[in-house]
Amino acid sequence: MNERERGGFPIEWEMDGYVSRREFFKFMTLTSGGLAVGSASLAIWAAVPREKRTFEPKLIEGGAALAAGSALAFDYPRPRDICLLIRHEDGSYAAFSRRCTHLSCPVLYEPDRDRLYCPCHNGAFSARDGEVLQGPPPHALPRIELEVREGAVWAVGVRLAGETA
Amino acid sequence: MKPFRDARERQKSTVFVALLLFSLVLIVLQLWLFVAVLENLLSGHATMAIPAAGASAVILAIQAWMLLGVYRMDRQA
Repeated sequence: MNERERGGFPIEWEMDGYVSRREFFKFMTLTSGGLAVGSASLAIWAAVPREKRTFEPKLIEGGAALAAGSALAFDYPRPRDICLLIRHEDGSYAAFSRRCTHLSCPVLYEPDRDRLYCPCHNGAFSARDGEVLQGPPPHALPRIELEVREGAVWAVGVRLAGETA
Repeated sequence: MKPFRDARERQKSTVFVALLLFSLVLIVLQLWLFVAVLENLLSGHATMAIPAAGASAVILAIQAWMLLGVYRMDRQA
C-alpha cells in the first residue's frame, strides 16, 4: 500500500475495534450530558415558585342524598377526571380521584373494609385519607376538597399526595 | 520492541474496557436519578430535584474527565 492509498485508510486493521470503542465512549459522554441537562431542567422547574392552582367549585349532584356506607361517581375538575364521593358510616364525606396512582385503573369502594380497591393489580387505598394500604401504587390518591353548603356537597379543590391543605 | 508494544496495547485495551464499564455504571446511575426525580415531581415532592441535579453534574464531570483521559492516552500512543 503506497502513501496515497494509506491516506484513505488512516486506521490499521488491528486498531479498528479500539476506534469504535472510543466513539462509543464519546457517545456515552454525550448521553451523560443529556441526562445532566435533563436533571438540571427538572431542578429548575421544581425550584420555580408557581401560583397554587385554583379550581372552580362544582355541585356534586345527589351528594346530599348519598346513604351512609355508599359511594357516588362524579367528575372534577374536568369531565374526564373521574372521582368518587364516599359517605362514611359516621355521616362524614370524603372524595378522591378514582384513578389508581399505579396505572390509572378506576378504583372501587369497598365499604365493608373501608377502602378503595384497584382490581387491576390488587392495590388498595384508605377510604379515610387515600393513603396506600397495599399493592404497587407509589403514592396516595389525589384528594378532592369538599364543602357542605346548605346541605349540598360541593367539590372545591384537588389536593395531590404530599400537598398540605 | 514489538512484543513490548503489543503488551502495552493490550494493557491499554484492558484499561479502556474497564473505563467503559465504569462509564456504563455511571450512565445507569444517572438514568435512575433522572427517573426517580421525575416520579417524585409527578407525585408532588420536589425535595430530591436539586441534589439529584448536582449528582448528575458530578457524574458528567467524571465522564468528561475520563473522555479527556482517553484522548490523552491516544496522543501518547
